[in-house]
Amino acid sequence: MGLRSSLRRLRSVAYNTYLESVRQRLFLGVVFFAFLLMLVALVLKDISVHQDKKIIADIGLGAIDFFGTIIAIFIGADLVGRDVERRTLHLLLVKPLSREEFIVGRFLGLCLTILTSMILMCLGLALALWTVQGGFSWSLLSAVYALLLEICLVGAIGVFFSTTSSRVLAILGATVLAVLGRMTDVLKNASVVVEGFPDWLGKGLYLFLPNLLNFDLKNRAVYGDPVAPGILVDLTAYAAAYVVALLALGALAFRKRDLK
Amino acid sequence: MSSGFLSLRGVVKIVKTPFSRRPGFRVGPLNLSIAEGEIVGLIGANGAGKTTTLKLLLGLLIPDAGQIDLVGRPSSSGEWRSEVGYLPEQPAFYEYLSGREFLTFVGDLFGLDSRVLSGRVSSLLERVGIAESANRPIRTYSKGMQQRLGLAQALLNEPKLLLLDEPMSGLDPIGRRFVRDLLLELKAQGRSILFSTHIIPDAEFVCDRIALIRAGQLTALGTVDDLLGLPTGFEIAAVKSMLAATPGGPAARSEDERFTVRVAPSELTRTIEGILSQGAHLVSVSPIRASVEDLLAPQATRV
Repeated sequence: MGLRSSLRRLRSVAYNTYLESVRQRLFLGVVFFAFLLMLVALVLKDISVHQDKKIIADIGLGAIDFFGTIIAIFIGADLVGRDVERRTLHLLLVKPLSREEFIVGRFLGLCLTILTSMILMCLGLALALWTVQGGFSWSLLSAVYALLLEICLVGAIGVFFSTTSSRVLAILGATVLAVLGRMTDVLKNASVVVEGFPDWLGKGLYLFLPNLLNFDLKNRAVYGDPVAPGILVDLTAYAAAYVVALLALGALAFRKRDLK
Repeated sequence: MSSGFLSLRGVVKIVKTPFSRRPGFRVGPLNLSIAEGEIVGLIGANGAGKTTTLKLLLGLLIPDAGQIDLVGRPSSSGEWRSEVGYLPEQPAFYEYLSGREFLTFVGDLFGLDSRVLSGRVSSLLERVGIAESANRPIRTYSKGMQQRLGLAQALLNEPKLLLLDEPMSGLDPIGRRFVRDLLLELKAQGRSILFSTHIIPDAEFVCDRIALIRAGQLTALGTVDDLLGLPTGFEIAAVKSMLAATPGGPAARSEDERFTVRVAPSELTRTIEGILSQGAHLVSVSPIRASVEDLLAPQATRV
């Protein structure tokens, strides 16, 4: 199995995953609601004074973050488990497609789905900003890029759980980690706030879990603070490291899984 | 024919139910070898371990013990994948794709050149009889059409070895005959085939050897004649209303113009000559012998 043919298989699985995901009602519904929310933002800006662009950007970026995360968890956590349960995998894994390639291909397809949803939602946001004579600034674009990294990382968490457990457990696990990932600072000092909470557990979770708050550049974008390219490079490396680790762990767990 | 094209040596699998304290269903130890160009039927009742055996061969289930070789290579190496075709029982597809799109997706996994792939997909769709529905989503296919698509994807890489799990399942009589003819055609091309079934006459018709599996154990393995013995008689079917003139006399049964006669092997030639000489048309001559069902009975063990 050469690198070139391996890349072709990854492309095939990713493209098929993308086709499957964008046809799901969840995807269409989420993008629709995000658009709806941006319309609401257009109404809300009328009741604020000189804050219209900020309100729209704030609500728009929040919607992209929230709905993108929903897509990553619900589609990501179902990507491998569904094929195991429906037995579609039985046809594929006897072909020259390794279990590792299947997982990576599924994840890449999920990233493509997330990217599509974000482009659509960003178009909605740009449209809303354009109506109040605002623009899509570099800092806004930086914030969106950071959100894309964060949501792909959440998707990798979903795919990891999908390789090891049923759909419901995978969604639950991915949701818990996505929430805890936004509370790592709280977890670090949990023993101070919550009596009896083991200090080692809080610090352990802080070190182990991805700190998703690192990816939150929304406030800086809304207030026009410039984001240095170096920060985006660091965030990319940080997300990539977690994604590689999660997919490697998922592949390891999936390698010995019986497909009944 | 070289031996060991496919082989299982001492393969054991204990299939456990999750969260259950029960010991699980034990399959094996399985010992089986198939030569190049041979068709072997794996016959057993539901739950006997046929599907588990096929999944062990393909690495979908990880064996607890034993050694498996496919196309002369260790199963664990995965090097056999481009030379093996597999049809699962009740194949599941991405149903939003059309039959053509699904086969193209599968062909991509084999790394086939796009022009070669396109031609092969079209000819296979034609061959399995679903060319007219090729561009419709699979979710609109009947069960029989899905089974035919399953066969097409198993043949896409022109495999040397085919593992088919209940290939006649869900097919009407015409479909069953199509699969039977296809198996014989593939055998004539020198391909090896292991297929599971509980439709025994089909297995008897196409197999060089049959393996009987019961409660996870191979209980008999051999040619049809080895296992069932020579015929104890023959049943002759012919067409024309001529009951009174039939040499078989009391054993004859009239159904409009069609009738059947049961005769001893020594009477076969004389009886056929008698039927033909009176202007009747011969429909079939079937051997009467112990059935494979008899061998599947609990007391039978003949490995």
